[in-house]
Amino acid sequence: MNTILLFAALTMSIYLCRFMGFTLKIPQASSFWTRFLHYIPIAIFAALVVSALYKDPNFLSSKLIAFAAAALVIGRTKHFGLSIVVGLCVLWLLMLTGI
Amino acid sequence: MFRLDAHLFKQGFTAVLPLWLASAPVAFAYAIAAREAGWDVSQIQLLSLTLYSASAQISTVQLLTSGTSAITIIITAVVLNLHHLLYGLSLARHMKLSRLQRATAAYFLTDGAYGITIDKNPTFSFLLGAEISLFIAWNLFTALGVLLGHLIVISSSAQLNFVAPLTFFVLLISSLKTRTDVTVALISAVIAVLCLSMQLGSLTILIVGITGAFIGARLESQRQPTPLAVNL
Repeated sequence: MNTILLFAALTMSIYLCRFMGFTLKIPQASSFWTRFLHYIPIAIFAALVVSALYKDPNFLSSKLIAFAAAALVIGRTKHFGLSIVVGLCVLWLLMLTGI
Repeated sequence: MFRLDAHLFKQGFTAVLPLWLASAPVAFAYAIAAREAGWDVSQIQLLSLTLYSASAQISTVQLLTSGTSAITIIITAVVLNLHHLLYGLSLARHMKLSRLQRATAAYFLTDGAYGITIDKNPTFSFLLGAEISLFIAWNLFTALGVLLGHLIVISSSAQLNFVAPLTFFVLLISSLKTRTDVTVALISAVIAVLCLSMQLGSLTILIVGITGAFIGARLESQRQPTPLAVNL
């Protein structure tokens, strides 16, 4: 198998997946499709979080507490970076204390 | 060529910096696995520069090593990345893009760049800033993995592995504005668990993206969205 040809085919295939979404035409006037597109990020974020926890269930309770802390910070401050730092620190502290 | 707003580009570039931490162990894992499979340095780096997809690159190393056919390797990579189609659809709703802008944005599109952009500032300059930032990180860490692979002991550090899900969780929380949003998030989480327990693997993101968004659109057409009374 020619590796460079395989790499080229892989690159083209994945690029098409990424590019097609930008070019597909969805009827702008349709309120259903407008609502559908609004909910895509919410559904995908939920799926990404659940997938990550499912694949790596270690320290699950600590991670859930860290999530709660991060949610509290983003809800109160709207500061994205701070909520990530707080979430990581909470997880680190919980792991340090053996929870 | 296209014009870029330097300020927005910089904002996008820095907004994804926490995700650099998340990409490091994955890039190291890819580089080390590829070296162990006998790939040369140029092949390892070339795939990071062109394919630029952690899941597809790692699966390619594994499948090539086990002697899988080229067509199976390509189909696997496509299935792993099919959900990017939804990202493009979602981003195109917010941005008026020229052909060149679409072509450029598509090349560097990743989960992290999409998530941060759609939540914070869905503009082309911000998106490209976030994309380039993550592209640099991925390629930098691939190169480090290649050069120092024999010295690096991949840590199973729970904190490093936790950066990506934590980032997506924070993005999820900040995008919940109505009760319907919360309902859709919960339903999507349940569907994701069902898909994963049925061993659907990477198709989970695509299935949840479509079904979750469909359910949300149906729910909203049945009732007016009520703003959340309690701000978390």
